[in-house]
Amino acid sequence: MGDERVGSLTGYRVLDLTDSKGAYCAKQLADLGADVIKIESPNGDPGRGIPPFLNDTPHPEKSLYFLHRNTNKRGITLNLGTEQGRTIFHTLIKKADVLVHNSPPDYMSGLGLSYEELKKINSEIIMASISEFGYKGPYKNWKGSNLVDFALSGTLITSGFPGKPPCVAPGSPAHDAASVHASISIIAALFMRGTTGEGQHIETSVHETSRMGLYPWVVPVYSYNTNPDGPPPMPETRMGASIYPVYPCKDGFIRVIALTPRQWDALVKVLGNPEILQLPEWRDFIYRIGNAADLYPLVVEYTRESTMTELFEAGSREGVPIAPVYKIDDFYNSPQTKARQSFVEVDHPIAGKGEYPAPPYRYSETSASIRCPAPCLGEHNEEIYSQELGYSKDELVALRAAGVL
Amino acid sequence: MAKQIFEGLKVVDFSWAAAGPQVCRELAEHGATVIRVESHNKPCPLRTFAPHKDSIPGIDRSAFYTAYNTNKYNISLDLTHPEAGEVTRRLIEWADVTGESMTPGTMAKLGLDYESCRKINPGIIYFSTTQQGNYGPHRDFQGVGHHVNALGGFCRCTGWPNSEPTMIFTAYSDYIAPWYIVIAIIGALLRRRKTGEGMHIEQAQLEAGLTFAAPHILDYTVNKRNAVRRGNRDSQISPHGIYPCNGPDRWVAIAVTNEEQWASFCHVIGNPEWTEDAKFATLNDRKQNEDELDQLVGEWTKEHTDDQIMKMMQEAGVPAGIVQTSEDLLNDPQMKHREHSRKLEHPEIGVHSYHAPAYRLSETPCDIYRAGPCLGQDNEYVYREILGFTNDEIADMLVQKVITTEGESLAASW
Repeated sequence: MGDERVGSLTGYRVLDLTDSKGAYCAKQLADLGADVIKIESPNGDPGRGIPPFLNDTPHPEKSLYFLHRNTNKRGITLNLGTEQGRTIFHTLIKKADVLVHNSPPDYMSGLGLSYEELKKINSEIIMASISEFGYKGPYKNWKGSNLVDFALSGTLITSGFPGKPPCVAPGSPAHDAASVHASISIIAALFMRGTTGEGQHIETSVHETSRMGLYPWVVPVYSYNTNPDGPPPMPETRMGASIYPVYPCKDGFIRVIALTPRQWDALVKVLGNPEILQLPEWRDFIYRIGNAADLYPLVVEYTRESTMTELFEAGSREGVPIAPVYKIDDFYNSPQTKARQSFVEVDHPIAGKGEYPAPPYRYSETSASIRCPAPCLGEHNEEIYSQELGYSKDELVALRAAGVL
Repeated sequence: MAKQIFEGLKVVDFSWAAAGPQVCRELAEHGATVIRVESHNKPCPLRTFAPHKDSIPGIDRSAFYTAYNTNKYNISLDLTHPEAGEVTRRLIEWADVTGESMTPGTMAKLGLDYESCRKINPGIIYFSTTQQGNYGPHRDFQGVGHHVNALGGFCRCTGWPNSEPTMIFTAYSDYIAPWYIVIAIIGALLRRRKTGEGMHIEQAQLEAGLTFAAPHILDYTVNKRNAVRRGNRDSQISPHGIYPCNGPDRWVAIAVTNEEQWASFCHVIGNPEWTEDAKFATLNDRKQNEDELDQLVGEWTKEHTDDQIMKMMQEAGVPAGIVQTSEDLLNDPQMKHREHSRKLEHPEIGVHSYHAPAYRLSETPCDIYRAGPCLGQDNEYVYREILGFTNDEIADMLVQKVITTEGESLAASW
């Protein structure tokens, strides 16, 4: 399925208590070879219920959302609400390097599983806590969601059309940004631990990290001396559509990023040098933004004559960046993603075969790859509890009957 | 200050624009010593981007650039000058990590690709991040992150079913891609600690962007379905949307995620008669009648301010949040509590606020302490103290324009 070379995190063990909001964090560590054990309650991670599903059939082993975020992990069930469950968890913590979870603030400490408590069991443990708004502060107990966090982050106001409601980006960008931030902190903390021998606690706020998807000017622009009392930045009034306009063409849409006069001239050339676009004032970027509504129909008349690919290639030749607005199948089938093997086939025992995005970087020496599919619920209970922790089959049966596993 | 994770780690930053410099900035904010190499002949395009101090452009006046290059040193060096080789040799010898984000082939022409650097310093970790990658038929296509948004499906899937595609304003992949490079670099550092070997890390920002659209990709590869624009709708949450509030261009996000929250939501809006209607009784019913539902919710939200709605909803346990502007964000009480904005002094721009890093580690905190540098601001320190050139040698390089002091113009470079 993937590259079997040793990864740079091979040998580290990670306990993953997250649901769909944090699952992408430990996946980054798993892709680098860490032994990630996903611990689910006996009812399973609620992320198993998130669409899309294989053939649109809701099923705990067929959520494509879940399957992607949990590749390369092993999976066990454990009920942390029971005392026996917590005792077993302590045993697992002793042999772990990292714990990641996204429970609400105070939940883990309520179970006696705060960082301070776990540090007593394993002083080297690195614990990462992902929460919507952080562990302290006035919003600590507030409820978040991908949409709500993205709105509060200041990113959403820039998306859409002037005067219309802002519009969110696809996927779960707020939670993915937080998860990846937590991954970076964990690997950095592992690097640090190599010299100090000490673990630490990492705290990640989805509200704060989803802001990182926005240009870093938002605070400077309102800070007191770069642009005092100026108008709001154009992107906040959703002028993005005028600055980086999207035009329909023969078989879809293109997006044009012409900023400089040189790029504008190249665009005019791509469109066949129509006279009406050669008026000198159009060369001025600010003039084009101010008169975007008038410019639009003039450009569309010419873009409609060509296909996405024709315009893409002509733009590249003439020196104006023109991007095809790809549907999923367009980039999946593009020669570039094919040549780069951007997708990896993964075979899951119940959900079957599918192509998943590969880790988005290539190492010249070691491996970062997809080695195995997401675990079925409790798939590795026997392997981990019996073979690694030494519980007998009878004990496992009893634990299962008691609702611990 | 507490010890930082990358204290003592030495980084030479040959990258430019946004994605590459962000990688080195994140290392710098964790304590690494980063030298950014630029030239007056071809300064970083971010220097031409607003906001500029007092709205007057100038090579050292862009708050965009300074925010992207916090904690770094900056030297001016004309990499195309025949005499630049001795400087780059000393830089590469000194460095643990280096990286670039140039058009594929550029670094090889300068004699600074991975193979060349490895000959000088076999332990070096070298990253390359470009729009479409260093190989493949589209490797030479020009573009910026806004293109990647279009190529990676984000643009096509953002907007309304009956509108053209749109997108959040930012070059979104420019923020996603660097995170993966930072992960890869630290992974490589861990490995180097064991083996002593460096390596090359290569990235296509297109691939990095795609990962955030992953559920839609699997829906295509498995179910052969292309994702479509659906506004702010969510198949499992309703109401779920951005609703108009009292005030100019004011909006609130509301996400009612379960039946308990639906009951709380109805209570907050005063249990109007329509909330009792059977067509809104369950999630399934609300999804069936969502246009009408959104209309009714919007009529209520219009009568209140975004702040009132957010607080009323949150007090009742319903996820809601203002669609915040920059000004809101600067005054956001939770962000203030987290000390998210910090003030730094820049030689030309003066004192203003910066976004702090969002990494919060208990023992080795991330920090920003120095505004992004002016071009060549640290020439004296870096050339003399770090690289060991004598005053005479530095004077010679200035005369020969190996070390640049001025350029022809500050036209946008792309």
